[in-house]
Amino acid sequence: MGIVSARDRRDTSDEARSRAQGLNVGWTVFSYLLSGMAAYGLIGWLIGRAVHVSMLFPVGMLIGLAISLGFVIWRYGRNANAGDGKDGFDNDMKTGMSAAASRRASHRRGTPREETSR
Amino acid sequence: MTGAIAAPAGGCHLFSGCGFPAPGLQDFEWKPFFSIGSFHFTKPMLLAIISAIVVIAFFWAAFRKPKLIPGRTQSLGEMAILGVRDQILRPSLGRKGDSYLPFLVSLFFFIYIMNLMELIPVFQFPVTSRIGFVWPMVFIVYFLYLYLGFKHQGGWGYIRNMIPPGVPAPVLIILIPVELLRFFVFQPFTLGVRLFGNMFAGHLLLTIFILATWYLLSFSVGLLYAAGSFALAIFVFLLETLVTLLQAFIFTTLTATYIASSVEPAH
Repeated sequence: MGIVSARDRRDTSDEARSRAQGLNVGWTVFSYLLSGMAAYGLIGWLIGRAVHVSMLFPVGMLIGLAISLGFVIWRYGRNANAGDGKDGFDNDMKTGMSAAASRRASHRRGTPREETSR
Repeated sequence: MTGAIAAPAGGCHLFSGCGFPAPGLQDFEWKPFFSIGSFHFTKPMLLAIISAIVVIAFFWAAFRKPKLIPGRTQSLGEMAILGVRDQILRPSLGRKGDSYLPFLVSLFFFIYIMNLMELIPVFQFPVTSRIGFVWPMVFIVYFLYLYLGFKHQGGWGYIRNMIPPGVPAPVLIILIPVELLRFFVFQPFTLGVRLFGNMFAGHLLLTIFILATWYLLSFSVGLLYAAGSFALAIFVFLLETLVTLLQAFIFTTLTATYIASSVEPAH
């Protein structure tokens, strides 16, 4: 989601900001879970039709669910509360990444983390 | 209110030999007031128009002649606008998002009044419980979301920013179908279905308990059941006063976060 400048942050309460972020992340996670099942369920169904193995449809759905779950945990869940408290939940919500993933991405790009989020 | 909703039950009561006339999808279908060819003008359409007129009339009355020392209507209008600004817009977009305030205020109050129609006697029907009224709003929001994204980030930049940051290339290949489906199908789908589903379920619950109160009403032990059902109807009614507001709030908040992610990508 969008990044609010430091001056703007003072205009609104932390509670309102975290509520908006929480809502966005919550529904994004839900969308990921649904789309994972649908995408790989569809792929499984198509392959299943081609090779006449109907079992591939539910298998694809389960694989999709597993992929979505893994990605959601990697992106939003892991280390959400780790670090010094500033680096955890807040930054996770800003960038949509876990703190550790965000650090890795910043390191890969060779840019300080704070710059990447502005 | 009870009488109007319970009308389908007629004289049907407990121990009168007829079964409970359970509400269902038929309670969301309306006979048209009039028809022009294949176009049928129904009650939900009328309520949607009334909702739009209410919102326009209120803000017109509040800010037609704004005064330095505001009157009662202007104060109420200012409170409404500041509420949306401070609780919905600023937490996501900051000050630079203030240009979207008219859109978000209109959206919030239009949805809120349409939801509130459920609880107003005579109207008694949430417009958003008909999904046909929800999809156009979702379409407007999503079109704006995509348009702003392309405008502020450029075509290639927008597609690049859709890719989750920090994901290794092999994992990215696995994620592409998931990400595409989420972005173009399930994100707008959940935005619309949540509003529709909540209002649909709320209206159905309210109808069930009010109908049950009417059905159980008799000079027997049914009176006790009717009292229990009536208490639940009151409870659901109070719950719905909260849900109507909450659903409008969630829809508008998510719209604000979508706009924010288009205007300023997180990565």
